[in-house]
Amino acid sequence: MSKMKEKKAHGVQLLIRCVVTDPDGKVISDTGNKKARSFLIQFLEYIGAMFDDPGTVDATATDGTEDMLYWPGQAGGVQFMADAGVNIGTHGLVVGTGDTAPTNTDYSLETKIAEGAGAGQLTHGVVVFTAAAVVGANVDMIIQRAFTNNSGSTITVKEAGIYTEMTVVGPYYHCIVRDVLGVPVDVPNRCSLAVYYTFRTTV
Amino acid sequence: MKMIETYYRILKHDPDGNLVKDSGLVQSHSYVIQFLELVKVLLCGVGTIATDVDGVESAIYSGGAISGDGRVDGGVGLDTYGVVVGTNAGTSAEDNEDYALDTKIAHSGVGAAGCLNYQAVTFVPARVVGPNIDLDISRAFLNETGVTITVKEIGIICKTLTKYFLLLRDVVADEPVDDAETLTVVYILRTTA
Repeated sequence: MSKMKEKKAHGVQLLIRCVVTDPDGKVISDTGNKKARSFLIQFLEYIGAMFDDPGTVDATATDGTEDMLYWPGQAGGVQFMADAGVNIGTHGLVVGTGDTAPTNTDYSLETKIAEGAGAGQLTHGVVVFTAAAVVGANVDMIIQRAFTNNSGSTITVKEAGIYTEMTVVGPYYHCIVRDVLGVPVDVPNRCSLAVYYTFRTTV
Repeated sequence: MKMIETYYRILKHDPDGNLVKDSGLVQSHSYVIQFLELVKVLLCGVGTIATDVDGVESAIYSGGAISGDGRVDGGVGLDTYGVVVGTNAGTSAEDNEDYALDTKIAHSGVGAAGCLNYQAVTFVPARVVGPNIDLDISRAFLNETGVTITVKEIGIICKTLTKYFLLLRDVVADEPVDDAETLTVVYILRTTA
């Protein structure tokens, strides 16, 4: 019997980029694409459920309770959705102020920033998806969202992630990605932060 | 780099069930574009078209019950989806835009020439394994043809309603499967914080 050594895998890479602009659209800071770390267990739980269709599947929701993640009899359009609209802070691409290191079993951001124009709040733009396409040697699919600070003070963003929504019951929200930014990003009052997540595969 | 690392493992058993080959975990190189097209439509519900295994632009997302979409759970005798294997007769390298195996091996339950007996796809759901989260997808293939069949490519095909879409394709080291031997392919999707 022969046995080969384990090797480093290719797979689905995740990159994150944060761009801050002033009210005139001038770029104040741009992190460029940085390696993201943190697909969470809820992502693979949903993909695995779709592949296997074992019946309804619960997973840890953002409030820490076990709630329905996958419901086979319901349309895809009412579950695992990250397509949040303007002023919706419950799901889609989200940001926060926590900086605790991510773990595989995280189920929420540490301290998600709420929607609004009050102290410590950001106004959430619509989540935008760019279709998967060949870009050079890779296939990229991008999810982006803008956040505008109308709170009157600078807000420092330290974490980001993606929440999905199950609407047919609940609604329930599940965190599928969480990253602590390598360098915190300051968003001055009246300025905007655009966050880009790039899903990338490469043969 | 932390990502969805993906590995495959190839096992081979003799007719008595003895393990005669274990590749160990080998890096998978080859998610193809249909995988991210499927992930995108799952997350936003818009943009449903992808290239199916026949090279035709078809709906990878039905808009109906999600149980009709993205299925990989091919049963016994079903070679149209699930984990699949092939001979790569055209010696094609992997490409981001592959939509089918080069030369898929068909199923036969009666030992037809050039065929393998496809068993059901099995899953081990996502769970904590040491420092990782692993999702395992496996399938066994029995050679009943009387002659050796050499597997040179493997992959995963999903089913949406009546259409089939390639999600992964890997060209592998030649793997001869002698008569009465069983080849098992295990794909492991892994994330590590």
